[in-house]
Amino acid sequence: MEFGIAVTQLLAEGGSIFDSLGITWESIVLHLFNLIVLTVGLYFLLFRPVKKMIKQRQEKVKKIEKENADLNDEVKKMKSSSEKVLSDAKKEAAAIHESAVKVANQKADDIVAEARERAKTLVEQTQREMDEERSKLRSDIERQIADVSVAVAEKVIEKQITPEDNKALIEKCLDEWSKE
Amino acid sequence: MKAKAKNRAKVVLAMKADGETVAKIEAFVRSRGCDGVRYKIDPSIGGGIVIYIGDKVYDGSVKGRLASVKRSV
Repeated sequence: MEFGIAVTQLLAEGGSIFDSLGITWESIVLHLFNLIVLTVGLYFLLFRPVKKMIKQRQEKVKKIEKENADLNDEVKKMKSSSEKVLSDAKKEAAAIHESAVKVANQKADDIVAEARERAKTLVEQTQREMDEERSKLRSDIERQIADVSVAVAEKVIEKQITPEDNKALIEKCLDEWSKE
Repeated sequence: MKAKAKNRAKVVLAMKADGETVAKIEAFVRSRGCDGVRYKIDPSIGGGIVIYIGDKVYDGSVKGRLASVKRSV
């Protein structure tokens, strides 16, 4: 407020404002020169390095983004590959399981067939042995019956044969032997 | 002596035979080359006659015939 009053007074006195402020054209040129030097200096010392640094940063960011993209691609490929590997592994596991089941079934069938064959052989052998035993037993019984029959006949004939029977038997034998 | 023994037949009977039967027996053994007979009574043969001439045996006894029947059974 006071400064405004002073400027108004100076203008009223009819002097130049530059004169009243003590500004000369030399000082203006000098200031302009300083400003140019400062600007050029700042340009070279600050602006350019910062610009360069920003550019480098941008390139670095681009590079990182590219690497990220590459990595993403690689991850996608790996994921796809791993899915394929997983799928193949599942298929292989299923095939192995199926094969194992087949082999186990085949083995079980073989064992059952072998057991049946063995049982059949055993039954046949037992039947054969039973037949032999039965036949032997029958022969034994027949022999015993024959023994008993002959013994009984011997006793009966011994008791019942008369001298006439004996004579007739002797003569019959002599006739038979004479014809030989 | 040995030749004599060889030509003698051994006859086994279950009971004593009459003269007719003895004559038939002796005729038979003579026809087989024997000049003598030795008799033996053995009731265990059951009946009939057994004649031994050397290694040959003529078995017409009840016991022998039953044994033969038993063998065939």
